[in-house]
Amino acid sequence: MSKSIYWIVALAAVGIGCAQATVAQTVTAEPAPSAAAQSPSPDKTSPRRPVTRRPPDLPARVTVIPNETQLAPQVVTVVHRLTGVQILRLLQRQSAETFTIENIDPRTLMSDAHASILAGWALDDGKTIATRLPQAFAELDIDDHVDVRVPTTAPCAAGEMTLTAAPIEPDLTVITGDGQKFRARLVGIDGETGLSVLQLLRSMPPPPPPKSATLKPGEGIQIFSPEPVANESETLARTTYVKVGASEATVVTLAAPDSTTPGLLVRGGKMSPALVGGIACDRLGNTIGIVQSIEGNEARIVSAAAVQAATKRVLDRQTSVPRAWLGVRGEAIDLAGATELLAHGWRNEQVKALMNDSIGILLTAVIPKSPAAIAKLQAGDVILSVNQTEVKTTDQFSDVMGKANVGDEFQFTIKRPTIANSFDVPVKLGSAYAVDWTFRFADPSAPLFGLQRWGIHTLGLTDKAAFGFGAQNGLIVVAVRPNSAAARSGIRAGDVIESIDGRAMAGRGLALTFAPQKKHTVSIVRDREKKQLVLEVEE
Amino acid sequence: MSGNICREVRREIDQSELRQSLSNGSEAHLESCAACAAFRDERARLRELVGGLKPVSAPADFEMRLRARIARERDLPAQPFIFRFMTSTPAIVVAAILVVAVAAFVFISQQNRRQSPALATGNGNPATTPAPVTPQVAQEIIHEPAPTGAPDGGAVKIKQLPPQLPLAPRTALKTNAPATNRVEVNDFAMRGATPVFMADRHGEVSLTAPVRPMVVTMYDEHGGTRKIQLPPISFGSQRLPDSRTQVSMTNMKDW
Repeated sequence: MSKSIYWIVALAAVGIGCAQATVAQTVTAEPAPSAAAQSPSPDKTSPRRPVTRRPPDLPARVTVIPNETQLAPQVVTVVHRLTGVQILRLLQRQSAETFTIENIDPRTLMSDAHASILAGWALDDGKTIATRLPQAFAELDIDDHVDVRVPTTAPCAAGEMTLTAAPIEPDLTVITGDGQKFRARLVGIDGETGLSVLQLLRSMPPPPPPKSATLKPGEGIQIFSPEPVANESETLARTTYVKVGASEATVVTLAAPDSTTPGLLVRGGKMSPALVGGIACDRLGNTIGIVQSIEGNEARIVSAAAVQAATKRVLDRQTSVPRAWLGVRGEAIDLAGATELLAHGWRNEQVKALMNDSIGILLTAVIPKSPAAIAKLQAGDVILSVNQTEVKTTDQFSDVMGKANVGDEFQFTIKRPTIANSFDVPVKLGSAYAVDWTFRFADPSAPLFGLQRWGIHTLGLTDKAAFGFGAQNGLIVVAVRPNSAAARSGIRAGDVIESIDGRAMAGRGLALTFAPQKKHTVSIVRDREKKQLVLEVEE
Repeated sequence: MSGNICREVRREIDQSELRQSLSNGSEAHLESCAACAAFRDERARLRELVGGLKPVSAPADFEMRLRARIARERDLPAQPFIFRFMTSTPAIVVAAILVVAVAAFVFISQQNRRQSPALATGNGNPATTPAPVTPQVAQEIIHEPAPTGAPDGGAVKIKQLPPQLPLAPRTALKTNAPATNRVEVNDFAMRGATPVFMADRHGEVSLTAPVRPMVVTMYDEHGGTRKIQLPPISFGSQRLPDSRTQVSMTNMKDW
C-alpha cells in the first residue's frame, strides 16, 4: 500500500517537474490585478494567458555618408521614421473603405516600422527645409476645435478644415552634405504643391547664395537624391549606406512665368520613382525645383519659385495650407479620344462634334460629397468654360483652379450627353491637402459618430489579432484627437480598447452608441497590461 | 578481374599522399593501364591545385555575428523539447518516467532513513527548512511594497545583474507565493546579443532603422482579404502601398 503511494507521488513529481519546465519557457505578461484595474467583466477577462517569450528585434541602422564633392550644399538628406501605429493611421486614411486587422505583429506597433529617406532643400534662412514627405499625412491630425468663424492673422475660409501636427513630434532627422545632423519639426504641408515644410530645432549654417544663371531648354541639369550605396570597406549586415547621388537630365520645357502648374519638364536616362522628391539643380548648383512626378524618362518639376511661395504660405500660417478643391478627375477632350467619350455615354454624332470643337474637359470621376458632387456634376460631363472662358487643355483648367482660393465660386458651362444644350452650374470650391485624391480626413461639417465623437479613431481587430496584444477582443486606437475627451482620459494611439462600460468592443467602432452618461469606463490593454480609464464626456 | 585491379589501384592512389610512391604491383599496373595512369595524373593535379590555395581566414566580426546568431536562435520561441520528445517517442517517455519514478522512490526512501528524529518531526523552526537553491547567475532581489489590501509582504522581484554574466541557461525560481505575490524573473542572460556596430567615421551619420518588413493582413467590409508588406526603408517620395491609380501615368488630372 505504502509502495503504491510512493509510486503515485513519484509520478506526480515527474509530472509537476515537466509542467514547471514548460512554464519556465514562458512568462506571464499580465501583472497581478490591482484594485484599480479590475475588469468590468471578470468572468470574461480574468483568465491569464501565458505568452511565449519572443526575442526583441535587434535594430538595423542607416548610415549617411558625406559627399564632399557635391555641387549643391543646399541639398540635405531627410530621414522620416514612422512607427507601426502611424502606418496603420496612414493606411486607414488612404483606404477607400474601412477594414479590420486580421494579423499584425504587436511588436512593430510602437517601434520603428518604416523609414523614408529623401532629399530636402535647405532654404536661405538656415532653418527651413522644403521637402516632399511621402508619409506626411501620418503625422497630421484634424484639429476640429478651431472655430473657423474667429478671425485670425491668417484666417481660414469658411468650411475649411485645419490640419495640425499631431501632439507627438514626428521623428524627422535632417543630415547635411558635410555630415551634420539636426532634428526637425513638421510645420505643415502645402496642398497646392504637396510639399512639406520642416523647421530645424537649431539653425544650420545657411547655404551659399545662388549664382546668377538663366535656364534654357536643352540645358543639362542634375537631380540630387539619396540612394543606397555599397560600402567597399564595411559589409556588415543590417547597415544601409546612403549617399546623395546625382542623375543627369536635360531641360525639355520651362514653366510659364505665371503658371501654377509644375511646367518644368526634364528628360533623363536614369529616371526612377526614387527620384520623386529629388532636388533639381542647374550646372552652377542653383536649385531649380523639386521633382513632383516621374513619367517614363521625364520628370515634372515644381519650380524653385513655386516651392518658395509654398514655403512662405505654410510658414505664415504655421500650419498646413489646403488647396482649392473641386473633387473631380478629368482629361482634355482631344486627349480623351472617342473611346473614352463613348464609354461615358456620349453617342457617335455627339463625339464627332466634341472632337471637332476640341473644347472642354471630360470628367471621368467625381468624388462623392465633394464640391463637384454637391453641385451635381457627373462623370461624363464636359466642362466647356469657366466663368465664360473656354477651356481647351488640362493645364489651362489647372491654372484657373490653381489660382483660385478655398471658397471661391465659379460658373461652369457644362455639356452632358443626355441633355441637348449646354447649361451653367455654379460651383463653390472646397479645400484639400493632397495633390491628387484627397485623404479620408473626416469632413468637419459631418456629424461624428461612434468613438470618433470622443476623439478616438480605431480599427477593428479580429480575435486572433487581439490575442497578440494580450486582449480577448477589441479595437486598436490609431489616433486620438488632441484636446478631446479621449486625450484627456489618457487614451493613446496603440491602445487596444477591450470594453467600454463593460460592453465588449468589436467590429470597427463606427456605429457604436453609448448611454448618455457623463463618465464612461474604458478597459484597455496597453503593452500587454490591462488598465481601466475613466472617460469624462463634456456636455 | 581487371576491373577489380583498377579499383584497388585507384583506391591506393586516393589514399596516398601527394608524390608518395605506390606499391610495386600498382606501379606495374599503371604502366599497362592508361585509364588508371590518367586517373593518377588527374588526382595529382587536383591535389597540387588545392594545396596551392591560400588559407581562408574568418572575417573579423565572424565571432561576434556567430555569438549574436546563437543567442538569437536560442531566444526563438520553440516548442519545449520535452513535449517534442514526448510526442515523438511515447514508449521511451513512459519507460523514462518509470525509471525516474523508481529513482525518486529510492532517493526518498534513503532520505527518510537518514533523517534525524528531530528533523523528521520538524515543528516549523526556520532552521529546519531547506535552504533555497541559489541560481548560478548573479541576482538582485528587490522587495516591493505590498499592494493595497494584500495580506502579507510585498512582491519580490529578482533581477539578474546584467554585467559579467555568462550565457547561462534559463534559471527560474519556483515559488508557492499566491498570484498577488508572485516572483517576477527578468532573465537578462537570455537576450539576443547586443548588436555591435562600427563607430561612425568622420562625417558619417547613423540612425537606427527598422529591421524587417511590417506585415499587416486585413479584410475589408466585403470580406476581401489583403496582405500588405511594407519595406523597412524606402528612397524618394514614394507613398506606402496605395491602391489608387497613379494619375501622373495618364493624361488625367485631379482638381
